[in-house]
Amino acid sequence: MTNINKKSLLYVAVFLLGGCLNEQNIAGEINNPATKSPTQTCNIPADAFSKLPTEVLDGTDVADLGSFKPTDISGIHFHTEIGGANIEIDAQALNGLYKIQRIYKEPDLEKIVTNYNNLCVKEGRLYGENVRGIFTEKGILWLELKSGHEFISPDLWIYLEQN
Amino acid sequence: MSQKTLRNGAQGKSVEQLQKLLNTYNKNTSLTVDGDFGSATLKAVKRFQESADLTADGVVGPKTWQALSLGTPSGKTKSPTTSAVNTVSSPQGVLADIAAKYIGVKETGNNKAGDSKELLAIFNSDSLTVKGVTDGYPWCAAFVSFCVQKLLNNSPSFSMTTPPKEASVSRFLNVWAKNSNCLIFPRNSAFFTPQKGDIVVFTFSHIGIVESVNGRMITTIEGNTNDAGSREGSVVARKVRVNSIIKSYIRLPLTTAASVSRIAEISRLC
Repeated sequence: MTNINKKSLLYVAVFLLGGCLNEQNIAGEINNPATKSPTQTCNIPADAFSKLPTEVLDGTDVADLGSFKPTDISGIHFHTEIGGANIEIDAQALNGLYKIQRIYKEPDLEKIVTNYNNLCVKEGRLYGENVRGIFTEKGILWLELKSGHEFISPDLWIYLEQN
Repeated sequence: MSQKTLRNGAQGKSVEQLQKLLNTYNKNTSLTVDGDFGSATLKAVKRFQESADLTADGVVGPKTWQALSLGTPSGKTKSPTTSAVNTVSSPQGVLADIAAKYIGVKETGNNKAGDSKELLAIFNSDSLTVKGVTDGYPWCAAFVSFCVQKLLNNSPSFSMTTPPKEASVSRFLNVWAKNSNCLIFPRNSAFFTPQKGDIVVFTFSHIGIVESVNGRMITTIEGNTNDAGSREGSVVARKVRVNSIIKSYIRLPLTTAASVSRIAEISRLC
């Protein structure tokens, strides 16, 4: 009897743990293949947009975040040139979540393609564990907190215009 | 003529010169200028080497002497001596004068040179062609390559350096500057402060040339940068930048003779 109870408890624990992990995956990212399951809902943590940079790279200039007006999702293809490189973002909706491909291209170098999957878009904001986005009337403000690239800084939003 | 290699235990006039230079550059410590290479000097040398992106082995060989010749006095005191040191002429400063001649050079859009002979020359200064044409890509690194080529080809102070032909900011910083023994230092370096003629690399993919420095504000000349009213880079322009968006500075290396002469000049004024 004691053994059965222990086993039941173990199953319950595994089930609950699985649930918790799935919850985290909702806003997980890099290279997690998007599931083909029915439409998923997404949640953005309340503090996801606090303590973030307040400056935006707009071309080669730096502007104040407050000078950009947030709106609902405004497009799916965005681009910018930042003096020495082009950056493109392509967004794709999948089962209620979003997949984003960010392409970084410097002249004379291979382009770098980075995929962010299972991103949450809600009320004009985009959320993943290490990425944030704010849609604006003509584009998107994009921030990578851990890009792994020396020229994509976690201290600056990047403004990309709609194609 | 080259400087003598110095290590822990060395003594003499060269060590005195080394100690003077370290004192001049170091904002935080002050060595006794006694000509004795002891543990305090060793520690200061290692800190200097780390700051200059060199192997911190405490041995003052050609690369460390070269970096010492490229240092900027820290200005930790306001004494007349320090002011005099600050006036030591910098051969690198000519780079900013070259860049300034091209202010206003503008693309026709989409990184195209159109009929602009100056911009075509800038695009031709790197080794890149895309689908048979020389323009059509972001050109800030090409502009800096172009200006550095002009400087190196016309100044005997840099005759040992191979001119850059880089279209990429990453390659300019991580390949050309490193392979050319340039001094590379971060914006918050304790030993080096930016000066006219330094090359500035931003925290995003962009590169320019320092024209002047006023505290945290750096006046630069940049190719393919935003003009008033433009959203993306299109022109060679003068910009005022805050230090916080700068990743690192690159200072061109001098020939051995020019390096020795500069060290002597700075030491004499210390």
